[in-house]
Amino acid sequence: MQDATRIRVKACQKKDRQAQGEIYTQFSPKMYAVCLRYCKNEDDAKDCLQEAFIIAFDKVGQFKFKGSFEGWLRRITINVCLEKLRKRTFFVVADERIKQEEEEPMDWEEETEGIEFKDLQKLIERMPTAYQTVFNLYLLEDYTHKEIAEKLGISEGTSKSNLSRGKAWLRKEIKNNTTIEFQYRK
Amino acid sequence: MNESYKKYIQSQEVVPPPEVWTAIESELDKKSKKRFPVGYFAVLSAILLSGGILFGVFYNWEAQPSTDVQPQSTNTSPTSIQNSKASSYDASQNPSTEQHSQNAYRMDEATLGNHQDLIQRKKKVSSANLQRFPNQSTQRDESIEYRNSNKASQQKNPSQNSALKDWVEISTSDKPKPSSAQEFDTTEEKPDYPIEEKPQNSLADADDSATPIDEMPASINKTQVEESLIAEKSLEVEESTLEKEEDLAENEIKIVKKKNNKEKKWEFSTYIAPSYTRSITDKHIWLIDLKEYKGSYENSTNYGMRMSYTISSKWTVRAGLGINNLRQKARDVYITSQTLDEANITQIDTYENIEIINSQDFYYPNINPNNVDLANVSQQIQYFSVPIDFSYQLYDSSLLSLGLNLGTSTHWLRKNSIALDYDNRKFDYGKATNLNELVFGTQLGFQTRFKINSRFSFMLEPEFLYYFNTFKDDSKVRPYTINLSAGLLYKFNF
Repeated sequence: MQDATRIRVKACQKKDRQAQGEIYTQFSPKMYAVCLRYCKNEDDAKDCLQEAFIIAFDKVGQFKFKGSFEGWLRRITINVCLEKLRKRTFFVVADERIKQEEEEPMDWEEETEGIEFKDLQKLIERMPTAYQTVFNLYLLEDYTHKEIAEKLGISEGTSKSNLSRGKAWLRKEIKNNTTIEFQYRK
Repeated sequence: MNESYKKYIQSQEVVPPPEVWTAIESELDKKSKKRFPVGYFAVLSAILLSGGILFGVFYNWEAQPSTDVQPQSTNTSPTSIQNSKASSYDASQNPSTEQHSQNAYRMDEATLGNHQDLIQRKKKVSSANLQRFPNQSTQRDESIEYRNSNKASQQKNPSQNSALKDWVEISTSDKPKPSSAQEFDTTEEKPDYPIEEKPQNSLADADDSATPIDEMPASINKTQVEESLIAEKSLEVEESTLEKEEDLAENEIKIVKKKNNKEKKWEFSTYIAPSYTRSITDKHIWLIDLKEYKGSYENSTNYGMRMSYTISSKWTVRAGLGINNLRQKARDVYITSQTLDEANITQIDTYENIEIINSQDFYYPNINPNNVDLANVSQQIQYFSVPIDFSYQLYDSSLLSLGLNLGTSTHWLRKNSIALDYDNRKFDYGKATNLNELVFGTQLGFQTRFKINSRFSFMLEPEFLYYFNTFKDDSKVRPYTINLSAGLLYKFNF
């Protein structure tokens, strides 16, 4: 951890308002991006960002400098977003057969070849929330299915099937969009 | 996932709008100035204050009438002296009660029994003495008559009677006063002269004729008058002693009875009550959003404990802590499900007053995608209740007591849940948003107690409880519950 961040965090532990402002300035853009990724609209993202920083400043005394402060803050932010998601959504699985579907292996490099990250991100943002949440948590934040199940209040089986469905959806979308839009770039 | 894409995503930055930091600062300021929970403390203080005042008032009320217990006889000596006299007497009668009688407030029911026996024994002794010493009794009567006539004479001729009194005092002053033993033992000092005839008439004559002392009739000799006065005094002393001792014993009985009543002022009871909930104005009390659906009320159970304090023989005040559950179900509510093929997350915020707080994975093997099905929506509300009642006793016997309760109650919302019952499974769904956290109510009940022994009673109380402000909005719903409390009551020894 950089010395400047360490000093600011220590000052935050003493409830120093200036240090809190500096920490916010330093990390809020990244955290806001996280919020936008998990929330469906800007209002919810702002609410989550606000709540995440309030919790972080409140609990900063528990941070023991064993990992990165950014990672710790990111976990808090994601948890706040998931909590918000839990409050707002009602997961309904209509057919148990979905659980039994086999996850098809995805050759990521091959299938996303030629697609810019920006476009890929836009596609993922269009992904249905049920898939997108699990997709982001599992692939980008390295959560396990067990952790995802606990956070979202769903079973591990649902988490796995949602990931599988998400990948299938993304593959399908890439294929369609590649033929229409991305083909031009190639 | 491509690591480079992961890094790309994680390094993305979007500058948030400035109002977010303003809001954060504002929240942090609020947190640093933690607001004092005025509302809760006000309610708590009011309860404690009213309880304290009630206790203080009634405690003093109980303490003040102690003047009633003071002796009503001519004896005006302090209670401690009276007690010491009683103590010495008790010690002679029954040494085991000596320690008890030294302090009336330590006497128990056994002592009370001793004192009641004491009075009876005293009366027997007194009547036995009178039977054993009829002459003494006669003397006493004569002396009383003599004294009365003497008083009449004094009124007629004070100077003469004063002289007579002086003469009698002088003549008896050189004789020792009889001891208490001598007072009772008068058989050997039985006068050998005809008291019945001479002294009475002579004295009466003396009064009527106002004869000077030097001319007193010969029939009244000095010894006769002296003996008569001694006998009279002896009887007076005995009578006075008996009266005082009877008064003392009676007073002590009163004290013990009062103490015994005072000892059993506090009672503790626990209860469990099947609860029947309805609303005065609307069939559907909680799920207003679902009022178009067929509703039914679910039986629930309340439980808790109470402490009561006996103010007087008829009135009791009591306070308690309890858990009140209220349940209702709306039947055959339409629900929709959406399939994962379309990858929908269904947001069921159809209802204005229900907030969904739980996400749940449902597996509906028998439902067609995008179909509509029926489920039951059940709602449970749980209050933490603090009732305060006044009870009036209508009837009391050794086996049964009946009474009426009337009071107010404060209810804190403790649990507020809505669940879906579908396909024989229950799913937590959310909570109602239109309920007040703090609700006030009033209750009226009928108290029945079956006394098991001096300490324990079985209690059965039907109670009507009406809630004033269950809902935040201007709902016309006015819920009430009818509880049938059954429980066990324990009477403390204080």
